[in-house]
Amino acid sequence: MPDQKSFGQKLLANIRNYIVTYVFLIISIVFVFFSGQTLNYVFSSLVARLTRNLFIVMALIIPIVAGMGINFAITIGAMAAQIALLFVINWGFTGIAGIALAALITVPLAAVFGVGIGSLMNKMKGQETIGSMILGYFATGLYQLLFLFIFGNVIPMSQKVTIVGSTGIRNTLNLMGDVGLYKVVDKLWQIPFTTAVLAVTGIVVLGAVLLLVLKKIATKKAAMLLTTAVVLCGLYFVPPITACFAGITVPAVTFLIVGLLCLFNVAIMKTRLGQKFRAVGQSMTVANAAGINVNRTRIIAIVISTVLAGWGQILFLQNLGTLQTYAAHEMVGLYAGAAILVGGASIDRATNGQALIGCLIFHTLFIVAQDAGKNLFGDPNVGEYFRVFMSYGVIALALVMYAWRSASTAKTNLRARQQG
Amino acid sequence: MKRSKIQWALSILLAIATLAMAIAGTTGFIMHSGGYAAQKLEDMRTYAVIHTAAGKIIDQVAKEAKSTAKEWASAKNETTGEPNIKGRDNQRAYYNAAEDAARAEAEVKYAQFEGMDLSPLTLTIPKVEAAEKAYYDVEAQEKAIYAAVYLKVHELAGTQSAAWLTELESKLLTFEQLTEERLAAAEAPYAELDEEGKLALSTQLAQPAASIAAVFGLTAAQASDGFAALRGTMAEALPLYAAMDTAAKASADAALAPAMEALTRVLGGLYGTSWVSREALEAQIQSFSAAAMAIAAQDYAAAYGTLPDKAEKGFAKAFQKLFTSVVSDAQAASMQALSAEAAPVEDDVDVAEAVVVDYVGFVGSEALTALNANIDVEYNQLWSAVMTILPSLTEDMREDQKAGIEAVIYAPDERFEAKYARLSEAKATLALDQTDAFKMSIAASASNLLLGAIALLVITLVAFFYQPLVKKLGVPRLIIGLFFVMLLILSGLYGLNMSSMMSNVLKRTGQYGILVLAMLPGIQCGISLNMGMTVGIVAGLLSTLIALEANMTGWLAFWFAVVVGCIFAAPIGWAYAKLLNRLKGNEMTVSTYVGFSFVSLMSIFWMILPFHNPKLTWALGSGLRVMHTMAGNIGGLLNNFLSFSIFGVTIPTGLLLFLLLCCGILWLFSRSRTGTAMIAAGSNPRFAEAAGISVDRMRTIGTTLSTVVAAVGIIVYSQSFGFMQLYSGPRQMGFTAASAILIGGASTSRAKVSHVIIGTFLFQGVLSMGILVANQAISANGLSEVMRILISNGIILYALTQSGGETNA
Repeated sequence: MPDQKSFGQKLLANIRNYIVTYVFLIISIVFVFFSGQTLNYVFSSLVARLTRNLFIVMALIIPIVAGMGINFAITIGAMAAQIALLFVINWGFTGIAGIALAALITVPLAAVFGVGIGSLMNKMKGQETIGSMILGYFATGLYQLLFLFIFGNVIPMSQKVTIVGSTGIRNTLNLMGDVGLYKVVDKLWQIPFTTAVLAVTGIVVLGAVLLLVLKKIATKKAAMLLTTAVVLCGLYFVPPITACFAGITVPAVTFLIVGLLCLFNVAIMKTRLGQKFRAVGQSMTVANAAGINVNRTRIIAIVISTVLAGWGQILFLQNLGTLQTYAAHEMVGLYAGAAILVGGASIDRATNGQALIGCLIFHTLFIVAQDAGKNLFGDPNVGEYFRVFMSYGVIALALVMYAWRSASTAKTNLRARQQG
Repeated sequence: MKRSKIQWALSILLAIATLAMAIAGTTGFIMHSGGYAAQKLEDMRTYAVIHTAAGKIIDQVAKEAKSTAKEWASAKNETTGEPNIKGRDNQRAYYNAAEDAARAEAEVKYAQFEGMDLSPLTLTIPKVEAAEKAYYDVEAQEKAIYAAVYLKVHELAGTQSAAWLTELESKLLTFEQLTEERLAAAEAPYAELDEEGKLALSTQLAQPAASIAAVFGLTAAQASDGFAALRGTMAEALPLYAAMDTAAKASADAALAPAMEALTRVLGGLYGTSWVSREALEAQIQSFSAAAMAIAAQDYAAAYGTLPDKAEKGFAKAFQKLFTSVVSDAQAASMQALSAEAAPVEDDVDVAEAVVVDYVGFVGSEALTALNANIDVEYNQLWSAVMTILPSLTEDMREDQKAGIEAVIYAPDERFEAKYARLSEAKATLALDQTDAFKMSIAASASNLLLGAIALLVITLVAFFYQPLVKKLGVPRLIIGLFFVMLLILSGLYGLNMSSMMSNVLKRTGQYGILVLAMLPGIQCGISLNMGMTVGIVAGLLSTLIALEANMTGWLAFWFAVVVGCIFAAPIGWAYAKLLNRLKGNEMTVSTYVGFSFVSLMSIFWMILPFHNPKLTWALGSGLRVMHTMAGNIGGLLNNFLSFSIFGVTIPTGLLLFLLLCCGILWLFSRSRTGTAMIAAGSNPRFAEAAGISVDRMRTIGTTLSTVVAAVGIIVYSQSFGFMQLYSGPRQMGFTAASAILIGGASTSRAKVSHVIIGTFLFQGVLSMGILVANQAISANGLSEVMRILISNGIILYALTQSGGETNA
């Protein structure tokens, strides 16, 4: 049936579905214009921010597919990563070995936390979003208890991480200098932006051709993909556009890791487990009737999400270079959730592409909001508050739209049942 | 109700322990109040003095006897030329025999010594104790004020400019000078203490200061270091300010006048007086107890959300900003360098610093000198008496022994228990037989034993009635209830000031009560926990701001704010209710984020709304300030209305009456036709719909009511708290209110007025007592904050697991 629709109708439908994304896209373009910043600055900041944030945003996808809404409890995954990093710094591991060790320690910690979060969420079905948010707050309390009164007291720690003469762990842990964890993943292999563009175009072209040969995708779709990739690549080499990206380097390994996560998110949906996620996400009652252990499946989804969030936080912190011990995890859930929703995801649908587009738009706004606020309203704080409003607002909007839609679906179903 | 064997065994064991502790405590108490312990203690003190002195004297006499014997022997050898009395061993035996004989003789004399009257020595002790107490109080209060001032400096400096800082600097210098004067005065009674006594006192004083600083989230050292950093920067910044031309200075100063005034008001709020009046300030400081200071300080710290690092960052950022806006371009560059130096105090500078009291150059008062001379006279008289018994004592020995005797008499912190412990340590228990010693220790810990017995009794009862209690209350409420009781008992054990604590709990109950009450109609009408009540809070803030903009004060301002706040809140609440009516089943999630978004949207409006009163707007830049003091307009109106004190507990009559009035109105409403219909619609919408009640209409009424009550709630809160906070301030208030009503016994679908009152009292009680007890238990920052986070979010999580599980499965 969609084939019968004209292009105009399709575009309209697309705009209707992605209205949030389009609105934010327009706002971000307007803001970039009014910020007075050069595009080069915006793009280089954007690459840095994507390096930091993309992974953790993608950690949200699986719980959304499994029908558990935006998992704001990824803050707990971030806490697991921070505990792991604390131990790594305490033991004095440096470089890539240190980061690998932190990632390794994160796994059991985050998995155990994930089982706990999942079990609790199973007790509040339908309230997962708010539940996970409050769980995040609650865990912050436990985290502070751990870092202020257990570490450094009950579990002795070296003076590198503790506050001398008082109790607990320092407010700020430095990952730079002697600690040797700053940008170790990012710096493994840095390539110029042009190389990255060519590489990505090459991969897309190769992939499209390969899939076409294997008859995995339709000719029309492959052709579109190829054209888009080549045209975009060609556009990049128009001199004024190339100039916008001058001097930007891309941390190739970090983006490769993000790429692997994308593949993982796609691949897992093809497995039996992935089918279960979908089934549970669509209807728990039906899934249960089909013999799927609903609660177990949901717990697995959360465990995966929590571990991924932990790794994401490690990537984030190694790029940033400092760990704000008591604050670094606080905004993780909010910003990641807002970013994916800006990308057009909803409470029950999300893809890698939405995460990527969401991150691009959300972080562009982040970069320019202050300057735009200053130029438009004469006060940078207006931009700052707009940024916060935007984060909360997009979540509220997504929740309202979702609740609205499910309410109207329920009504339609009810009416259909009454008539039939 | 079935109990397992383990439960029976545990309950019985606990009951026996309770009984034993209660009996021991009562016995101890009877002994203590019967004067037995005091008498024995006096005996011990006398004994300890004599023992210490006499013991040393005897040793010395014996030593001398031995050396005399040696001299005598060698002299004899020399005169007779005869060899020694049959070998070295015999010689040593001879010396030892001489020593023993001397010792025996001394001990006989020591027996006489025991009956002597030593009372002259102990006469001055109460005076020393009083001086000690005065010193301690002043020191602790100064530190608390110092830390508070430091925080204010950081908070305010983030938004002010050079001229303002100059003036602040001078005022702080005055304050410091004042502090020094007061400390010097307090030090007077100590001038004549020996070095050991001084050291002991310093160590002891360091502790309360540190724990008070901990209330502010920083150590004493951080406070002083931070202040020093600020002053360092100021010193470098001032010449640059001086280099500005007159016109620039004048305009900067004019722009800053309101900021200065704001500081005066904030600090005024802190001391309940104005900076201008130093006498009043001093009087105020004297009347503050350390506990009251700690509570007040905690309130401010919580209100400003000023974690030290945030404050410092804000400070560094603002410093840079303000200098570039006030100073010319050329000066700006050097200023920026300075601002880098002004940057935060490092986290790791907080090495706990003992308060070292330097007595160099100190001259004691006449009274003290006289007192000291008197002690010397009395000591000398005593010594002469001793010398008549033991003529071999020399004048040098008199000086040697003085320190020893004084050490027994003059140790600080002479509470009954401490005296006992110290004297026992000095081996004075030799004066008591085993039974006496045991009785003494029971008497010493009588009050603790009794409190322990009460605690055990509570635990026993909980263990025995565990099942019905859990069924009735739920696990979290049981834990919080137990926590409340345990905190009460711990406050007793730590000897905290109960009456000031109760005053604070009552004040906080009234302060938060109406905000919590706003949850009630929401739950009753079926929209669950109305986290979006912040919408109403914003309406209340707006109406108060309008009253302040028009320079209204007193009851006019209060009632204007209440009425206009209701008028604002009603339509917003109505629109909000219409939104929620379309989202049945998801209200809590949606309302939380709608509330959050609304608060952040309003943050933009606070920046651009056309308010012009310089008391409300930033001196530099545009928009409303973050904090607004209520002093001088509606601050404390309800709290002080008909308020009175009973047993040292201040009852904020007006505040409590107003809370009861609001509760009463909502209670009456819930009994009315509409109210009954609303509760029916909330608890069983299908049934209500079938009975002809419009569920949507009832939900609209409930939500609107909740929003309106929230608007009133924030006005009452602000007048009691003394400050009003804009921007992100109201964001989490819905959570606090939700936790309180849930603790009171409400669920997400059922609530009563009693849940509001009980919940607010319990929650605020646990928080305010917890802060004080936690600071006594461990001197570390943040424990009370952790407790608040855990309790507040834990109870909401519990309510969610109770309500969400079945409905959507």
